[in-house]
Amino acid sequence: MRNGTDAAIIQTMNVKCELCPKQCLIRPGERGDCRIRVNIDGKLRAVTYGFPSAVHVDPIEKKPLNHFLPGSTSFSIATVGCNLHCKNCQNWGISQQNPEDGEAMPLPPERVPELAARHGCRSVSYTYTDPVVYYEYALDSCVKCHEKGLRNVLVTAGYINERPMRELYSHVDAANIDLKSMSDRFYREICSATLKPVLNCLVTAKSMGVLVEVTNLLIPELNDSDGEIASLCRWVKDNMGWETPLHFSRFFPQYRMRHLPPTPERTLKRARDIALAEGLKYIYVGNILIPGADDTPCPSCRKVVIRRVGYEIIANVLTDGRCPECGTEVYGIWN
Amino acid sequence: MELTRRRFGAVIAASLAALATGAWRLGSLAARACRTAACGAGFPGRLRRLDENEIRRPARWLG
Repeated sequence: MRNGTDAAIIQTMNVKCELCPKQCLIRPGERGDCRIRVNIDGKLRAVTYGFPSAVHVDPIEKKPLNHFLPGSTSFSIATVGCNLHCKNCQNWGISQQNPEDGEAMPLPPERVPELAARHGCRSVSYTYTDPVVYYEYALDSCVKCHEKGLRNVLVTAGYINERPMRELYSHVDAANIDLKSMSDRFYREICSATLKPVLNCLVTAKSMGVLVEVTNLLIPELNDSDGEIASLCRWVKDNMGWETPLHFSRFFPQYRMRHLPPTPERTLKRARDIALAEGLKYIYVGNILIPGADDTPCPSCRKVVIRRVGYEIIANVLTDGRCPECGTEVYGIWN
Repeated sequence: MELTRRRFGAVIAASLAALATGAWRLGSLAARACRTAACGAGFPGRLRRLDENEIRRPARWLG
């Protein structure tokens, strides 16, 4: 009888985390797949709440966001943990770390805007790892930052359930969301995730009025065929609009994918050409310096309105968010 | 035993009550088990102070 009672108690103390599509069922004392959401005595706890492991001031172009307050700096924070386990992760040293093995700094949400303002930042970015897993910390910080007039930025893989996603994104101004592939098999085998929730996140974020830029990391042999690149560009254009900025990013051998070479420059140029041919207007190439590949053109007359070298703005001739030559509006948040 | 109209009604009522109790119990279990928002908790790793000089440097992490 006692065993039965104990079993029943243990059963009722299981917690099912409904934050991301993995919906981990977490037993008492155990953690979810993201490493940081833990069942302590029947309560779901985020052990990194208020304890970021990385706090830095970055150029906004590093996120990358090229259509959001260009030339500004963004106060960037991250805790350890991630709900994806991409074999190619370039930040695996922080994203795939257990909290007990890492270091963190106490920084409660109410102090985030104060520190960001002191460092001259116009926005706060939740980045490096995936803010989905430190959802409550990001959400509370977003609210505090908006109260103080600071903008909020997410850099994310977009693997989140719709209800919490809508709550978080209602406090977000801009997001760079990864679209790693158009193949569900790629998401399952390389990232331990699935494609559909990511597509839903992209469309929903855009429909909520968030400025969304998309990043696609091109990995040799895995997702760099002409067909897959064209299919991704078509999906972005058809579902998010031609004005959506798309960043092709260069892969470097990292973590559990050290056997593949870095993405060749010609692949990135080819991807850019395909995207332009598909009708997208703002195409960028990251993790590599290719002259002109970071410039923002006018979507109508193609005059360069923002010239960049890496993360640095060389010239910005936008006038009230419009091309000075033809007056066409350029998609973005410029002030 | 003969199944009278009264006994048949009692069986049906008992069955419905049992089903309702089961459904309520399952529902309450599910409600207790599902969470989206997590409470905070102490960080289990090492803690260090915020270093203003380190904050000013761009991160070595991508993004």
